[in-house]
Amino acid sequence: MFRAILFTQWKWGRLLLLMATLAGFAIPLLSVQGLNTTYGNFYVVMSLQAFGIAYPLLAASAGLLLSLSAWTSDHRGRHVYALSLPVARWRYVLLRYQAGLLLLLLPILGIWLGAILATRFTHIPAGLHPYAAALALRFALSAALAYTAFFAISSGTPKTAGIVLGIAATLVAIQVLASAAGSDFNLLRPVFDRLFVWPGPFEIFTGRWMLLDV
Amino acid sequence: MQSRLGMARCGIQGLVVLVLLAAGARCGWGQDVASIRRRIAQLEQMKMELNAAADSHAALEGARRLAVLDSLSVGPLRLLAPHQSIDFARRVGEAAWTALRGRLEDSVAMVLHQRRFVLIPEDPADSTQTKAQGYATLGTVLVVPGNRPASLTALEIIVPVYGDLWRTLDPSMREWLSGPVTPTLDTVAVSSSNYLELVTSGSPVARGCYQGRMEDCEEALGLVRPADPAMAWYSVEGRRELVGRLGQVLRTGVTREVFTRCVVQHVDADCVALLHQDEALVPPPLSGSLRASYLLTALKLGETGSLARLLGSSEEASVARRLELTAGTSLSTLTARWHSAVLAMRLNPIQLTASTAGASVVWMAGLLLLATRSSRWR
Amino acid sequence: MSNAIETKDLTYRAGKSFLLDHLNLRVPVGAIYGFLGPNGAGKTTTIRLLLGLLKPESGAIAVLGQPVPSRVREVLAGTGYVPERPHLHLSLTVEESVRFHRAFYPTWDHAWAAEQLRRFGLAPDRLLRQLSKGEMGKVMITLALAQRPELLVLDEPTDGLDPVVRRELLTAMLEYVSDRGATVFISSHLVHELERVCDWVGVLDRGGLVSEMPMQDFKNGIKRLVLAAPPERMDQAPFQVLAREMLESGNEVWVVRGWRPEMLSWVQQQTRGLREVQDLDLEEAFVELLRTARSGSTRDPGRPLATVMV
Repeated sequence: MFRAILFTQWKWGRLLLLMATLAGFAIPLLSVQGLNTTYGNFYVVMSLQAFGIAYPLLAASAGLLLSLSAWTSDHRGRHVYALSLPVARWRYVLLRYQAGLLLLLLPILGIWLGAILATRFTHIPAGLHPYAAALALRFALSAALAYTAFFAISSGTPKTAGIVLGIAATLVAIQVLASAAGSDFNLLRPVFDRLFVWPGPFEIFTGRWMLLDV
Repeated sequence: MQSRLGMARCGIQGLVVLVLLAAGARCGWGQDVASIRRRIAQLEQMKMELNAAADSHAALEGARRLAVLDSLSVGPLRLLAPHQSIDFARRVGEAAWTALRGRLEDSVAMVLHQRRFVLIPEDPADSTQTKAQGYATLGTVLVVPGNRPASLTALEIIVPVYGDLWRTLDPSMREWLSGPVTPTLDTVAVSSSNYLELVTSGSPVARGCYQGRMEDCEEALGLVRPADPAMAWYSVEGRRELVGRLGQVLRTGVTREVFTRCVVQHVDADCVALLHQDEALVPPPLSGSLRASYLLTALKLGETGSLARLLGSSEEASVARRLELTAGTSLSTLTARWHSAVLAMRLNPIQLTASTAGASVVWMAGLLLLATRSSRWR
Repeated sequence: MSNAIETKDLTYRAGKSFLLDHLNLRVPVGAIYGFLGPNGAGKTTTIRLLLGLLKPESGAIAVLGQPVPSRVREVLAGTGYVPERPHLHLSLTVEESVRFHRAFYPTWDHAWAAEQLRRFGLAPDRLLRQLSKGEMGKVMITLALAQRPELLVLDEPTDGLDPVVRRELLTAMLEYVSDRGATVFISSHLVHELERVCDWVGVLDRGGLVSEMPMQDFKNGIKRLVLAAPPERMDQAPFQVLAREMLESGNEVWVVRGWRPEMLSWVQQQTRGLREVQDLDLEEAFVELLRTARSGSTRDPGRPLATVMV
C-alpha cells in the first residue's frame, strides 16, 4: 500500500523534486564560488551570507509544492477515490505524509552532497569550519516542517483551507486599512512574532544559514 | 521678540555693507573720508548694542525655558527635559549611560562633563511644533519622536559623545584609528563584522592573528610597523588589490605601464615597486573598525581613569605604548583580551538549537495529528 | 443477512434546496437492483451515503451487514464502486492505475484484470487522462470487478456512452454476477438499460423513494386502460389509479398500478366501456409513476408515493 502511494507521489512530484534536488545541490556550491579566487574574502562571505536566504526559501517552497502535489489529484476528484478505498482516512493521510517525507529526502540529500562537495573542493581559510551536516539537518527539519504545515492544510476540506486563507487575508486587509488611515496599529507584527519567534512553528526558518562559520 | 532682534541684527549688517558701498562711491565723488569712518563707527556701535540685547534676550529666554524644564543626572550624564517627559528622558539616559559605560568604562565621564543634553520629545503627527527654538543655549538639543523606544533614542546621545571622544584624541592616535569611532547600539553587529573581517582577511599577519599569534595581531593592527609593510602585511594578491585601491594616489610619478603590469598582468614586482614609493600609504591590513575596537578594549580594561591616562600620555610615545598605559596592562595582555573578545563574536553558522529543533518536531507532530484527523466528510 | 443494502429513515440535507427524506431502501442479496430516478433526484447522493462518502443527518444504513459509516472500511473492502464521474488519478497510466488500486484489495484477481483489459483493448501504457469516456468506463469497471466484490455499486456507469461500449460494460458486469452471485446496485436515468438487466427496481424522485419492487411487478403491474365511460365507484378498486386523462374522442385513459389479469373481470363489472388494456413499457411506466408522484401534495413522507390514490 505504501509503495503504491509512494509511486503516485513520486510521479506527481518528480519534476519539482528533481528541481529542488538540483537547486539544493547547487546552492552550497554556488555560495562558496570565489573563495578560491578572491583575495580578502569579506565580500565573498557577504555573498555566502546572501546565499543563506536561499536555503529556507528552498525548504519552504519544496515543502509547499510537495504537499500540494501530494493532494492535487485527490482534490481534483474531490477525494472520492481515496475515500472509496478500504483504508481508514487517518491511515491514508499518514501514508501520503510518509511518502512525501521520504521523497523530501532527495533535496535534503542534494543539499548535503552539495555542501560536502562545496567544502571539499574549495579552499577554506585556516581556522574556518564547514557545517555541511548541520546545514543539511536544519534544511531537513525546515523542509519537513513546511511540508507538514502545508500538508495539514491541504488534507483538510476546502472549508478548512478557506478559513486559513480567510484569516490571513483578513489580517492583511485590516493592516492595509489601518495603514491607509494613518494608524500606527500593527497587527501583522505580533502575528509574525507568534509564527517566527520561539516557540512559534516557523522559528527554524529564521536566523543564519551558513555553510562556514563566518 | 528674539526673532525680531535677530532680523534687526541681520538688517544692521546689511546696512553696514550698504553704507560701505555708499562710502566707496562717495569716495569716488570726493566725499569726506573721516565722516564716513565716523558713520561706520556709529553703526558698529549700534550693532554691538543690538547683539548684546539679543544675547541677553536669549539668556533670558533660556532661563525662562530652563525654569519649565526638569533636570536629571544619570551617572555623569546630565539631561534636561520637559516635566511631563522626565520619565522618558530617564529611560533614555539610563540606556545611553549603560551603553557608554559598557564600552568605555567610567572614563567616558570626562567627555560627558562637557555636555548637557536637552531632550524634547515631540509628537510625530504634529508637524507644526517648533519646540527646539530657544533651547540651544541650554545644551545639545535633541528633538526626538516621543514614541521611539528609549534604547534607540539613546543613540542620539551616544553619537555626539563619541564625537567628543574622537575630538579629544591627539592627531597621532586619530591617524592610527584612521577615522572616527562609530558608535552603534548594536554592538553584536559591529563585533560580528569585526570578527568577519578578521576571519576573511587575506593578509598573512591577519590570518596569523586569527589563528592565535598575538604578535601577528599587533602587526596587523599597525601597532608594530615592520621594515617592509607591503611585504610583511600583504600577500601577492593583497598587494595587487591594494595597488588597485590606491591607484590614483600611486600613479603619480610612475608610468602607466608599471601600474598596468601590477594590476592587470599581475606582476608582483611592479606592485611592490609601486608600494615602496611611499610606505606611509600602506595601511595596516586590519581596518579602522578593528583598531577602534582595540582602543575600546583598552579603555574598558583600564577601567576608571583609562581615558585620562590615554589623553595624558605623551604624543611622542608609540601608539602601542600609549594603549598599554590606557589599559594599565601589557600590550600582549591587551592584545590577547582583544583577540578573545573578537573571536567571542564568532557567529553561529547554523542556528539550530535543541529548543528550536524540539519545537519544530512538536509542531510537526501537532500538525500531522490535525492532518490525520481531517474529515472524510466532503 | 437478507439484504445487501438496507436503509432506515435515511435523511440527508444538502443546503436548503435538497433533502433526501426518510429513505427506506432494501436491496436483497444477489439482486441486480436498478435505482431509477430523474437527474437531481438524489441517486448519487444516496450512493455516496451508502459508501460513507457523506454523513447522514439521521437514519441508519447497513451495507453487507455492516453499519455505515462506523464500519465503512469493511464495507468498502467488499464493494466495487464505479462513480458517475471518473475518480481515478488521471495522471497514471492504465497499468499504474491497476497497480495502485490492487494494493488496497487483498482479494484482487490480477490475471482476470489483465485479461479483461486485453479484451477491452486497453493499452497498459496509456494515460488515463488520454482515454475516451468509454475507455475510462472500461477501466473503472475492470478495477471494480477485479477486486472481486460482494457488492457492486455503479452510479450511472453507462451515461453518455455509445451502445457498443454500454453493452460491453453491462456484459462484463453480468458475467461477473453470474460467476460470483454478487449484488449489484446500479443507478441510472436510462430506463431501458435497466429494464434488460435488473431484477429489482427502486424509483427515486426529489429525494423520496417513489416505488421499490421486483422488476417483473413493475413491468407487468402498470397498465393503461382505455375506457369509454368511467365506473361509478372506485373505492373498491383492486389496483391503484395513477393517472386519469380525458381524450378528445371522449374516451378516458387510466394509468393503473398493481394490475393483474384477473382484475379485468372487476373492471368489466364496474363499467361496460372498457375498450383496451395496453401494456406500458418501463419508460412509460416510469414517467407515469413520476407524474403521479409529483402531483401528490399531501404525501406522507414515511410512505412511498405510489400508495397515494389519485
